[in-house]
Amino acid sequence: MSLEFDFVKTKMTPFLCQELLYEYATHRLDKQKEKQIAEFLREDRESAREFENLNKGLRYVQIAAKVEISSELYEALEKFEPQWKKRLRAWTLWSSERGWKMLPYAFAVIAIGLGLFLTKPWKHGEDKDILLTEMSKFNPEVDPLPSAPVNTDIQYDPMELIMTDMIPEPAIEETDVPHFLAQREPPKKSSILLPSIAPMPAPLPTPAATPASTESTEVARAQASSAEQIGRGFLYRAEMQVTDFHNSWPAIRDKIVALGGRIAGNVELGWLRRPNEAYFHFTLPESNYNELQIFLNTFSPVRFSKDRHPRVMPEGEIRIILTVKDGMTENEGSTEAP
Amino acid sequence: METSVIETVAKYFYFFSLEDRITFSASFRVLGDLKSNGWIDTAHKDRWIHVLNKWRGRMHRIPRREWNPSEDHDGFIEPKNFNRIAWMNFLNHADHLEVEAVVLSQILNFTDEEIAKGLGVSVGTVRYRVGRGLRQLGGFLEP
Repeated sequence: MSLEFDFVKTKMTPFLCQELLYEYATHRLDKQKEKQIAEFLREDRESAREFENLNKGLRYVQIAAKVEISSELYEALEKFEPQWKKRLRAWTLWSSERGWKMLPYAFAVIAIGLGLFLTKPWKHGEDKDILLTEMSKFNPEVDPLPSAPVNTDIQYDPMELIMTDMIPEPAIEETDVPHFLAQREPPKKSSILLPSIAPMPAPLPTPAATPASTESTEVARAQASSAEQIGRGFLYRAEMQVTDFHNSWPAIRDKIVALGGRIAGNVELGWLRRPNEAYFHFTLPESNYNELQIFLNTFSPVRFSKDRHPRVMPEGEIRIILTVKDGMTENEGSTEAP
Repeated sequence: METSVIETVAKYFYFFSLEDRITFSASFRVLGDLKSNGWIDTAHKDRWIHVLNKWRGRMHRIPRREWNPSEDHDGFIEPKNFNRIAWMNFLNHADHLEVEAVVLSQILNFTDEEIAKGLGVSVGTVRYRVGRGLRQLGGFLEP
């Protein structure tokens, strides 16, 4: 059975006729089909009108085909060059006329050299901080009474450990050296210490804290971009003043322990950095964070700031640095200040 | 560069824009494209159609290049009896696939087979589009 369209047997319709008009007008149909269409065109006025339109269109395109491209446009298309190419050619010509044939090449070499010097593509990925040395003066054997379990679940990676020291944080957080140890050991001068990364001052620098921070870490660092220093983890910070300092800070310490808080630094929870200041550096299950906030607010309004930090905590845990100050002495101090 | 390719490309864009600058800018791009691909000679007519079709959709977004700053030349010489209004009506109202088929087949004289290959359609489709296009074009002309 032939799958070809059996034109003769099919009844002619206006649609069929109109679709074949182009072939009919260009004599691409066989005689039998042509005859059938010619007969149908005599009968169907709509198809005859379409055929007339087709003929008008054909006559029109014969005229349209005579549209010619002007010699100017043709020449412009043939010889057209982008503006930069024209300028380069003119400049090359100008320099060669003066005997400076090498000038364009010299300029290109200088431009490439300058570009390489500025971008330093070979340094991509290598401009990480280099930790030359890190020493902790803290001796765990004389660690004074950690009052809460130490959190060992914090995830560290090698780069993170390096970058942690690059973040300018309060000096006390980097070191967490107990007050008495800091006083016991004489300060040692750093052998290799780049001046460009001077540690930021502690929130409230004290005579005890400053030597502790300088002597505990002797780290030489290369400077890295600040964007890379910003980590993926977070650190919560808060500072609060309480009226009854001597009773409040132990209560806060007990509450932190009760909520599952664990020491994160090197000092015990509630380390008395100064006689009127207690320092808490700990980790806490994130689920207990709200409860801790509510508890702390019973002493005085406290507001936590959430800072980016390279140290990444395990899922569901957060790291907090809380400083509790004696509100009475603070106020006295401020009123006494000139 | 062969004569026919410049003329073909320029006329193609002229019949789609009726404007010299657009024609020049688009033609420049297409000729550059054909040249870089080594399709300038007439053995690659189906490639011409393919590239022309590709750039037709972008021709109004191409930055206009000045080819005639003094504006003392026309880019194209039209016959006196060329009805520009009818063509503009045809451009504005007809399907661009049909306009393209009419331009390629009837004005630029590509064969149906070349058009079919260049556009990736069947010869029957090309003829159908040309037929419909011509009927529509005739409808815009006075009796």
